[in-house]
This record gives sequence, C-alpha cells and structure tokens, in this order.
Amino acid sequence: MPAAVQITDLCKSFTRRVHQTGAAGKFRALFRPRQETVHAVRGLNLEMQVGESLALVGPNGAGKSTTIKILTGILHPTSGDARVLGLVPWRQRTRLAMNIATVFGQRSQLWFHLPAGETFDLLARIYEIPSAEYRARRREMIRRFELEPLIGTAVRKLSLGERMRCEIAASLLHRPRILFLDEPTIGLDVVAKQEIRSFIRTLNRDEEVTVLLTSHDAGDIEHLCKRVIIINHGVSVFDDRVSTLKRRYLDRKVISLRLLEETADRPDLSALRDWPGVTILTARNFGIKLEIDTEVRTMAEVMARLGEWPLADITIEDPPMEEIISAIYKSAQSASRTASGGEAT
Amino acid sequence: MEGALREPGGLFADVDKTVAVIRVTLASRFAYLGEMLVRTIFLLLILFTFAQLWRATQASQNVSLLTGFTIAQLIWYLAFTEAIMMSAPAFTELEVDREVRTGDIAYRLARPLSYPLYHLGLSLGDRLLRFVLNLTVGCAVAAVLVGSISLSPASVVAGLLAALVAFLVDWAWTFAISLLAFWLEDTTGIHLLYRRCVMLLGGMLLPLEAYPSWLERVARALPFQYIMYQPGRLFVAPEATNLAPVLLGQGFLLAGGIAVMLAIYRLVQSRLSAQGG
Repeated sequence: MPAAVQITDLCKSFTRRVHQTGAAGKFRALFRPRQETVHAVRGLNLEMQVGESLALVGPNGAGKSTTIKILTGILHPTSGDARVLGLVPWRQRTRLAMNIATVFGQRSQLWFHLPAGETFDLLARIYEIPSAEYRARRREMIRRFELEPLIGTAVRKLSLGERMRCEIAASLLHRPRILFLDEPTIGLDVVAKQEIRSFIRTLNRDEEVTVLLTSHDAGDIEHLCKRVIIINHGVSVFDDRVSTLKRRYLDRKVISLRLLEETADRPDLSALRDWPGVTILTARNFGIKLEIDTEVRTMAEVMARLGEWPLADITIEDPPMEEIISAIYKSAQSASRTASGGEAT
Repeated sequence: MEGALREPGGLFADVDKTVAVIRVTLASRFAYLGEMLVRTIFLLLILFTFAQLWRATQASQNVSLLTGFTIAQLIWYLAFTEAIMMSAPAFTELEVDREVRTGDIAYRLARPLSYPLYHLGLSLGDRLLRFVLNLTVGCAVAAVLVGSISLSPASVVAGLLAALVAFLVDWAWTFAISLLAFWLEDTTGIHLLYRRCVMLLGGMLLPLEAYPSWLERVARALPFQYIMYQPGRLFVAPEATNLAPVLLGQGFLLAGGIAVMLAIYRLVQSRLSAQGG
C-alpha cells in the first residue's frame, strides 16, 4: 500500500524585508531595502502510512504550519519533494482538497448564525457528495458525534466543545483520507478535550483516517498519536513512537509517599537528603514527595530503602509530557545556536 | 480506507457551489434583518429631502419636467439607485481585505472551491437580500411621497436585470481592489474613492442629464454610469433607452473587471505559494 504522506528533503525558505530604524534607515530602505532569508523547513523527511496517527510537534516558528501548508498545496517548497495520497500538493491542490480535511482549532468553518446542519449541507455541495451518500453520512456523523440535540441550534449558541464536535464532524462528511488537525482542543475544558480525542481516536481506528496533528497540548499527542516527530528550526530532532519518547527521556520519576507517622519523626529523612540521585521535593505532615534521577539511582535501590518505612500509600509518576518536549526543544535550541551563525543576506 | 480518489467536477460543479454559497449567505443574513430594516430609515430621509428639493426647484422654474423627468420619476429613480448603493456589501470588501492581510486566504484555498467564486457567492447572497429590502421600502416611500409612476413589466425586468449585472461588475472591481491588500496592507482608502466615484460620477442622486454639460460628458465617458445611472434609467424610463446597449456596455466592463481581478489574483496566488502571505 503506498504511503499516505511522503516528504523527501523538503526545504522552504522565505525572504522578508528587515525594517530599518530611524529616519535615515527608512530613507535608505526606499532604495536599498535589506532582506533576510528565513529557513522555515530544512531538509525534512517523513513518511506516513495509511491509517497512521502522527503528531508534528515543535515550538512556535519551528516550521510545523509551513509543512502543513505545503502538504495541503497552499505553499510551494523551495526544494525537495512531497506526495500526499500520491498527488503533488501544490500542482494538484483542488484534487487533493477533495480527499483531505483540515480542522483548525482557532478558525471555524461553521456559519455562526446558522445551525451546523446548514454548513453540513453547504459542504456536501462543495465536496460534491451525491445526495444519497450525503444523507447517510450525515446521519452517521450525527450519531457518532452525538450531535442530535445540537444540529438544529445556531452555532453561536453552542459551547466551544459542542462547536468543535460539529466542526470535526463537518470536516469528515466527504470521507477524507487524511485529517490535518491544528490545535483541535485549544481552549476546551478537560471533559470536552477527552470527548474530542475519543471521537478522533475512534475514527482513526474505524475508518483508517490518517491523522496528522500539530498541537502544543501534550495530552493530544499522548492520547491521539502513536508516533511523534519533533521539529525545531525546520529540522526533525526526534522521530519515533510516543512510548519511545517517554521511555528515552524519562530519566526522572516522582514518588509520592504517605506514611503512617509524621515525617518529622523520621530520623532517616536527613540521611535520604544526602543520598545521591534522590531529591526531596516536599516533606510535610504524613506526606513526602521525592524525585529520583534513574541514571544515578535505580528504582530497585530506592524501593528497597523505602520498604523499611511505615508506608500507608505510594505513587510513582512519570514527569508530564510537557516537560519531556520542553527538554527536547531546549537541547535542540542550544545545539542549533552553537551550530549556526547569522542568516541575514 | 480504499477506492478511487474523489475528483472535482467542472464548470457546472463550480456554478452549483457558488449557488450553494449564495443560498447559505441569504439564510445567514436573515439574522441581520432587523439591522437592515433600521438602515432603510436613511432611505426614507433622503427620499423625503429630495422630494422637497425637486418640488421647490420645479416651483421656482415653473416647469412640469426637470431635465426631461417628472418629479415622481426622479424620486423613483433615486429609490432605485439608492437601493443599489445601499446594498453594496461593505462586509465582503472588508472580509477579502482582512483575509489577504492576515493570510487567512491560505486556509480558504485548502477547500475545493474557487476563492473568487466563494466571495462572489457571499457578495451576491448579501447584496440580493439588501437590494430587495431597500427597493421594496424605497418604492413604498416614493409612492407615498410622490405617487406612483407608470412602470411596465418590461421596464421593471430591464431595470432589475441591469441591476443584477451591475452587481457582478461592482463585485469584480471591488474584489480586485481588495486583493491589492496583499501589497498595500489596507485598501479602505481605495474602496472609499471607488464608492464616491460610483455615487457621484455614476449618477446616484440625479440622472446624468441633470449634470452640467461638461460633467455629463465626463460621466458618460466613464464606466461608473453602468452601475447606477443606466439600470436606474431603464427602471423609470424604459422608452428612452434600450436594454441591449446597456447590457453590452456592462458586459465589456464585467469582462474587463474579471480580467483585471484574475490577473491580480494570479499574482496573489503565486506570491502566496512562494512567500506564504
């Protein structure tokens, strides 16, 4: 089966005018404008199989949006190649648009003063869905996304979570092969986020819709995607399974202990403070929170020592996904700072 | 998921999509019906003022016709041209300007619908509703102020048809101006200048026959008359002018507007695909 998305050595550079300060600078800019080249994407390689769910993650300005715009045919690359469903996006944009869907968390395609059903009808015409097929698909989307009580209500009267459910359902009416999601859960509360993630997961599984997600929300990445690519300054700095990402960068564990006696009564607490690889984060009343550097101290050693304590409860947690991604960004940024100089031309 | 890829249809599919956008815009604009009705108060004021003005002018000159028109015809003409002007969708102009400036145009391009045709649908949907509403109120006010005039079905059809083509002409040129936002950042000034030219040189307040002869010659040499004067004149005085030459003039203007608009749009597209906005 051919890849759903294939990117080879993709590069995209922009030139932009540098604003010069002061009256003399502005006058000079009239005749000799200074320009700089911004390398948004530099040699990106990526392959996505049909039905795969992948997160494209990176800090602002990393090149995520540029990559998505190239893949949807809006931008031409400076060099390199890209194929989406076997099509060259920037040459066959309309044909591609008939077979993909884009959902932008901060941009709505629903008509604000009309019920979502009206937008569904419009999209059916735009995507040229035959009437019988549309009616069946609409019923299916309403059932799947539980839209029955919402479909006749003006969009302006819906909550953000309800609106986003309508938004995603609307995007899927034409049975797209690939779903591009850009911050689909931005601004949603916890319950609404979980609902949206659950719907997308089910679709990805049941209809084999390929999902390419860009998000700053680590929860989206963890719950929606099996694979993650982290890009920074247009370069891929990590490309592997989400579980590998967590395992590789999880050199810290947080242990929360609940004791049967006051922590102040423990004579071995100060000894624990001097134990390399273990940091006491908090110690109050009956509770202690420890951070373990697993490269210095194995969990077996820690558990053996804590086993002597009168424990009422113990919880072991991984650091949040945000911290892992942030650590990768920072290491990539410091590496690129030492590697590259100025780029102004 | 397997099977052949969905293929976009041809010209008929594009027309169908545009009609669908017109329909949904009409439905959406009904939410603003109250606001539109309030705006028709302006129509009442302007028609009342001009009715008084023409009566005073007629009394001072002691003639039955002013520049070949009766007072009733002049007021009905004004009701028609004001309905055209007041239906101009400022919303569309601002929307294209905003989308070009902010780069949102890029997101519209990710759908299988031509960007100009999408905006044509928005513009016509918005404009048709406003026009019908303004014309209905304007005609009712004119009938109360100056009585009815002899409107033949042919004159009504000719005026409405010319007004519809005028909307297309107006859209093509305003859309082209809005696309200039890609280079100018803000096109409000150019839109303002264009609208004033349509109002003053197009003959919104008066038929061109009432202008000083030198200004009439200038106005007749310019294209703005095809958006205001010609449809208005067809509506009130069908015996004095034929529909065919009006449609021919409008056709040239529309073809020119579309050619200019598409040339600018292609530049925007190539710049957008290279620079991202």
